[in-house]
Parts: sequence; C-alpha cells; structure tokens
Amino acid sequence: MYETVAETPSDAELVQQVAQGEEEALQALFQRHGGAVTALARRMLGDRQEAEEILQDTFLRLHQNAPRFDGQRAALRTYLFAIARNLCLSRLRARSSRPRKAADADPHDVAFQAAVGAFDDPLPGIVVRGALERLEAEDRALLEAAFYQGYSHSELAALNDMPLGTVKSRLRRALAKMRAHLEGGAA
Amino acid sequence: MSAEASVRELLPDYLLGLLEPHEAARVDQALARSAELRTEADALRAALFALPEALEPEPPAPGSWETLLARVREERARSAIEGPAVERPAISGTATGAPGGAGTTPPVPPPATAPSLAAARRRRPVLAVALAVALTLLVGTAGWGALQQRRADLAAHEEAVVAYWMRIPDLSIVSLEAVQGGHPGVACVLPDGRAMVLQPHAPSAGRSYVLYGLTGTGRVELGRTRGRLILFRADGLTGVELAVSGPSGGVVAKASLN
Repeated sequence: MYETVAETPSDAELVQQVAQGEEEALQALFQRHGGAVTALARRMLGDRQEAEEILQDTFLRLHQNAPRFDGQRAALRTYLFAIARNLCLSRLRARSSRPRKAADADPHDVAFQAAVGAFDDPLPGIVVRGALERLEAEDRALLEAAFYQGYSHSELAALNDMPLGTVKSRLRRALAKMRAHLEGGAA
Repeated sequence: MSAEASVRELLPDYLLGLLEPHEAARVDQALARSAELRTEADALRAALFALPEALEPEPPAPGSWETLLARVREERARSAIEGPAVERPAISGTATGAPGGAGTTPPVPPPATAPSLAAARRRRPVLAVALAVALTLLVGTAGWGALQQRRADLAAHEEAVVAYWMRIPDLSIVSLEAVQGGHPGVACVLPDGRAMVLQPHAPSAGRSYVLYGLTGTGRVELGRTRGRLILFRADGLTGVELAVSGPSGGVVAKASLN
C-alpha cells in the first residue's frame, strides 16, 4: 500500500526543516501563519507598519530557535502568537499611551484580500468566536483587554470601575470558560 | 487550599503576564515540580492563545517574505562572521517562565535614523561604482585546506547580504579613505541605522578586520571578521575606522559618517 497523494507537511515537520536551514519550509510556515500573526499585531498595536515589523521579528525568532522547538507541548501557532504578543507588549510599554482602535483596512489590504484564504483555515476562527460569544460581555472585555493591551489588574480595575478581586476572579473565570468551550467544541 | 491549588489559581494571570515577579517565580517552581500542573498550564495557554484566531487574518505586505528571507540570510552571514547571536531566547512549545509563555525577550525597537545619514546618502551616485567593484571582487573566494569550505560559505553569505542591501532604495554608500594604500572598500548605511563595511579582499591568513566606531569621545569596537563584511549599527557614530589585527596591523581605512 502506498500513498498517492502528497500530504501537506505538518507544522512540526516544517519547523524541523527550518532547523536544517530549509528556506522553503520557513516560507511555508510564513504563508500558513503570517496572516494570523499580522492580525494579532495589528490588533495590539493599531498600526499596519508596526504589525509588519512584528511579523518579521516573530518569524526571525522562529528561524533562530527552530532547533529547540518542542512541538509536543504546544502548537506552533500558540508559540508564534506568544512571541508576537510579547514583542507587541514590549512596544506598548515603550509608548506613553495605549493604542487606539486599529485603523480601518487600507486599500493595500483590500488588494490582497484574495490571498487571505491561502493563509488561514477559517475553522479555528469560527470556533473561537463561538467560544467568545458564550462569555459574559464584561468577562470577555476584561480578557481581551488583558490579552491584547496588556493591562494590569489594577489598570483593568480602574478602567472598569471594579474591585481588584473582581477583576482577578472574572479573568480566571473567562479563561476557564474559554478552555471549556474550546475543548468541548473540539470533542 | 493546598500549595498546588493556589498556584493553579494563579495560572491564568501567569499566562497573561500579570503576576509580580515573585509570584511568577513561585509558579515557575511549581511548574518545574509538577507534570500535572504543566499539563494544566499547557491547556490554559492553548485556550488563551486561541484568542487571536477570532481575528480576521491580514495578509503580509507585498515583499514581506522576501524581506524576511533577506534578514534570515543576513543573520546567517553575521553568525558565520561573528558567531551566533548573543540573545538566543529559549524555545519550547510552552516556554514557561515568561509572561505569556513565549520565553522571549522582546528586542528594543530600532532607534531613529542617525542624522548623519543624509549627508552620506548624497554621495551615493559618485560612489556606487566603488561598491560595484567591491561586489565583483566579492564573488571570488579562495582558501586552502580546511579553511577553503568555510571561506567559500562565508563569501556566499556575504554575497547574499550585499545583494540584498543593493536592492534597498535608501541605501547610503560612503567610500572609505585608505590610510595605508590599496583599495579602501565602502561603508553602506540603511535609514534605520543598520550598516556594513565591505572590503574587496579578506585579510591575510591569520588576520582579521576589526571595525571601530568613532563616538566623538572615543572609539568602540563594532565587530571583526576574517571575511570582507562587517555588519554594525551606525546610530550615534561620527565615523568608522577599519583596522587589521596583529602586530603590524593598525588602521587601514576610515570614513566620516557626518
């Protein structure tokens, strides 16, 4: 018995190839995850140019550290998001103010919308949006503010006029629910 | 509440990077001890970092991959010349210990363009020929014995870096002034402060080129190579001096960046 259809390499396989210096593997990962990383950075920083820089730096980190990547413990996507978020938080801390709402898509983006499908499977997005919709509105807002803007507990408490303890408990509850929804959805 | 249970309660804040350092250290220690806790943290991390999946993907800008590829090749070249980068953050699928779990130390954003670059940029039309000559010379690489392959690899990396830099529109090129005769080479500076010095020949066997930056109050070593290319940052520098290592070495070329 033999396989007649070429299988798409997994992320882990591609990372191994990146570790061996194969540029095509890095390109495949860039095409597969670059759109999502850009979206995260754009959401956090509100600036297309800076998001592009974060994208570059994130994949450069991946290239640097590919030999030590352990795909057994987490998905590459999670790892890329974590790198990008840390890079974004660093920039946010360097700013005197938090970012405003991300600017509307510019014509440049529109011109490349057709390529979006090549980058991302829509299913994870649908599942996560469904999980977010099941959270209480305040919990969701707190979780997103902590994740995307890096607000501290005390900042969140002040911004939302909530006791510190309530912020903490709501954040924990929100993440626990997210996990339950996502794991339930995956079953 | 048991110690593990109290740590478990901290995991969401830990993953969000909201803990005080002493609290994060406590979680780190607990994670190191307990496989069950690590599994719990992995699951929560997967849920937390699924949040961006809800965002509409934004395709990278045109030429983004090409830019990344050039940076990758540039980094390889730098590693070949100067050894691995100092900062190589640990990677694991979970990377405990860092807020958000990436195990990364975010780099400082590149500083603003050095003011001296505008003047340097004006010299480009006159001096592009110098770089072209240097590029031509760069292709040929010779070596002996065990060094032959390494030198060939080094030259290939250097060639890739130079080829990339030559495609950048705002590249400023400054001719080095020879101090001891011979072809002085060139310095190239990008608007973001990245810069390189390119020599037409590698130093003689056993020698290295050493590049110094002039700061106005003194000079600092910027890098050294046994090849022909040294990458450095021009921010805040008034000029550069290129020396050859060894007893009979000394400064062979210099350039003002003002």
